[in-house]
Amino acid sequence: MSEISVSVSASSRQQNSWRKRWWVPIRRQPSAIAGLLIVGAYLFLAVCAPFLATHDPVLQDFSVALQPPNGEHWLGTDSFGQDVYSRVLYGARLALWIGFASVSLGLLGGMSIGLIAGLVGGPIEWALMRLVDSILAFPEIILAMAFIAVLGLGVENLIYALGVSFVGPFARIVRSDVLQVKALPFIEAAQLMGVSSWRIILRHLLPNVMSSLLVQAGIRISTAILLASGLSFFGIGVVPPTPDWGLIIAEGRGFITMAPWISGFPGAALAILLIGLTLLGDGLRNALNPNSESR
Amino acid sequence: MIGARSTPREQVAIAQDLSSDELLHIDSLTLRRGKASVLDEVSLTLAKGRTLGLVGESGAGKSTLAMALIGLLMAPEVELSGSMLYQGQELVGLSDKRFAQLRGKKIGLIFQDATTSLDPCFTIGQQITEPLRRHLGLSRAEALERAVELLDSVGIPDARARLSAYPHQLSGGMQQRVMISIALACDPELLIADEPTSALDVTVQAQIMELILRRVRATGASAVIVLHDLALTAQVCDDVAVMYAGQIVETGPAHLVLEQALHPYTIGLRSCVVEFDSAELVPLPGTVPSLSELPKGCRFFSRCSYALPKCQEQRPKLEWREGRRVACWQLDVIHLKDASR
Amino acid sequence: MSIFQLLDIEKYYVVGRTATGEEKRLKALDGVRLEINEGDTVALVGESGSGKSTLVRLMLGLEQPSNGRLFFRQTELRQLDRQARQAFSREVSFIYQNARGSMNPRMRVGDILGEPMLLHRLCKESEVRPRVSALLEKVGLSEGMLDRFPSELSGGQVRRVAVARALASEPRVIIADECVAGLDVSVQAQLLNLLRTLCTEMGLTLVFITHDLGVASYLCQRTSVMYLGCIVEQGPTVELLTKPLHPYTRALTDSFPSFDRPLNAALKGEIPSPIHLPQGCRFSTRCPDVQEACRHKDPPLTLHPGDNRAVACLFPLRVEVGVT
Repeated sequence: MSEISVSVSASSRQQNSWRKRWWVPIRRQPSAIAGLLIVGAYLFLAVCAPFLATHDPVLQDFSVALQPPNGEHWLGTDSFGQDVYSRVLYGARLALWIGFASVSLGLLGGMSIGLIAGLVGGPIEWALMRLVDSILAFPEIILAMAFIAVLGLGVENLIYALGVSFVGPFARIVRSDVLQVKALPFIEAAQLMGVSSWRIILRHLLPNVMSSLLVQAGIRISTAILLASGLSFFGIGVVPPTPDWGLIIAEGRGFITMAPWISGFPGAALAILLIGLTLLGDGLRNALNPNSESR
Repeated sequence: MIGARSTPREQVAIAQDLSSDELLHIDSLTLRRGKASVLDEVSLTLAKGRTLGLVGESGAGKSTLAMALIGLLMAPEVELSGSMLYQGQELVGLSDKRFAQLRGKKIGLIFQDATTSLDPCFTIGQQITEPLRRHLGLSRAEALERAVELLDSVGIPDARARLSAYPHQLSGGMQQRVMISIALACDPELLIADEPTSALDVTVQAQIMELILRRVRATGASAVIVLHDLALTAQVCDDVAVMYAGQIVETGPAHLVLEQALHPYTIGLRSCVVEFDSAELVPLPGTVPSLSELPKGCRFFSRCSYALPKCQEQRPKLEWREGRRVACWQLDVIHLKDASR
Repeated sequence: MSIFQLLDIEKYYVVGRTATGEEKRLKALDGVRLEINEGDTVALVGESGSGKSTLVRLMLGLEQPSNGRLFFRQTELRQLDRQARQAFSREVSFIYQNARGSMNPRMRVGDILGEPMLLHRLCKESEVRPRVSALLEKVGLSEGMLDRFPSELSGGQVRRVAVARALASEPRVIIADECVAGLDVSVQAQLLNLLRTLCTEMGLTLVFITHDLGVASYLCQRTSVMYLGCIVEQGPTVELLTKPLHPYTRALTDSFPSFDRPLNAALKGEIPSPIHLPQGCRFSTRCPDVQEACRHKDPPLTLHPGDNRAVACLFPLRVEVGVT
């Protein structure tokens, strides 16, 4: 009976401590709050897109093409008669999905390479780092384009392409973090105590590498979204009529004087999301960095 | 203050005689940083040619006081009030520009860690000659000659060759000597040293402290030295001010205050000092309170074994007792307890 | 019962090559003989460059000696098999100088203290929490510390947690590297009293590195004074400090600030570089009583006749009977 009460109070103590550790420093950063609000709003819209959309985003209806925002089509229609509002909404969904998925992929790959390189050292580290260097030699967008050329267009291939191009930077970051943390006294202290190598990696090394890594990952999401939109804009990203913002902007390019809303709204949506992500990333970095002065 | 006199009246008379010999007169200096009360109505005087030690633990405000004297506080969250008279000139509210004229020329400063206080990008020679050329207007050649003299006087072998060395090429002790020579370059009237030997080995510490004293006595300068080692303070300083949480709790001749302490905090500190034959250390209970949550009265209240309810409400003023000034409501009780031992 | 036995331990690091291609060696330890028995409280005293930290790292097995042999309970340290090494980790605890850095900043105090218990299987998982609470109480910390992170603790508190963690594995030996340096005097006093009580109560063997002679005298019955990689004097602490035999020990005690005597800068000059050790006696370049023979012969650590002391000096200071 007492054991149960102990564990309950322990978990509530834990809850309070999490709040203190994560929420309070974040709350103090106005940029983090702003970023959180913006990204949160987008997430909500993206998740609820099916319920919030007024029309099917890929339904074409030439009879209502190029209409300005009105009661029926809140943000107007494009040259195919597709509802801009619904497309922007689903575009948010797509953008966030591409962002998270490609960064996760890159993180997984980069972390594996970086961990092995940092922990093992020696010739293996050398070889892996040269591999990473060769990936990093190409600008991300070029690399992504090359992969698209091989794999073909489409959301899935876009995610793979972007993911691979992120492996390089993440591998570098993880390796240098691992090297840095490896040299800290508490790792040696754990070894002295007789803690097994696996446990040191999992319990002592990784948690200290992860936090800065996650912030980096968050920042990369905005890069991923921008890259994806860029590639789609050039026509080497998603396949039309997929509601991708870059694609919509490209489609509206020819009508920029007559129907600015086609490019304008997705453009604004993209810009605001990127700003929100950047603010959130900055705010998180400041909040979680114990040395930061702005805490 | 000058020496161990027993009656306040005599003391006042002497004080009036000595007002022309007073270098520094601090009156009710109060410093707030945000919610924290870092210094609370600190009052001190320093006569010419005397050495004053500031002792206390973390949060006592001794480093802050030293920095305030030389105008190196971080404004803007800092509110400084009260008065600091340096040879009649008010330092509180002095502009940065005017302070810069004083610093280096009249007031010299020795930091704790020479490694981080010497600029790693400039040679020793450049760093010593800078104040000489700036404040004394010496030419480059004259300044270099003087630099060699200074390095010699602080015991650096091969002084001329060292001028072109960079700080990282010297040992910790050598770097500290260079710091001292920079501080003394323009023969300042007041030397401020913030824990000048804490980062050094004990044998080097002795050398450096001796050097500082020798140079100070040779030039007749006064010194304010922040130290945490009580025994060192007793040997090195003429007078001492014991600080706790931003207040001065006891001040007077160093040997007297530290070895025959009257204030409970000083007594407590003294019994924590580890010596070769310490039978049992009696540590002070508790820890230094946070500077933003301090009682209205005596700040030592929460850890004092003599505390009365009165102590929490009313702040005791410094009063003359047995040749030193001490701020405590329970002095008679302590005195009796001492006498009965 | 011998715990540690060090025979002619040498440790050098190669720091480059001379113009002729020879190795430039930094000699951190130059022939150390030391024996520590169960229940001993030993202070390793020395200034920078003395090699005391290196010696302790060798004793913990973090590095291997370049020459010489190191025994733990009569088995050579480098020959300990996995099981024995695990037992060693449990029996010998180390308290780092940088207490905060020696703890995982992402682990709570409760987990930090529980880790050695679970690792060495000292109790069931359900018993860990009460044991950890008891440990916190022993070092004078409240149970509320359990859920805090090291970054939330003050300097004194984090040192206490380090002491608690050292005790968590129920060790027989504690090795501590300057674990009270840099603290406020009252906090230092609290910690010293704690260590003293623990040692006497639990019969621990203590190896304490310090540069502070007062701390050495308070905690340790025996002291070894090190200079430039060698032990230059060894013996019961109080006697060693009040009647030193080696000129360096005397210089240390003279330089130590005291209320009773004026400050005495007994030693001139700086510690020579361990890359270029002086010829003959390593202290000859600074010794106030140096004689010609000192520059040619490096004196070994020899037992002083009549008592439990040893000194490495060709002309040790005379200890006058009846004079302190």
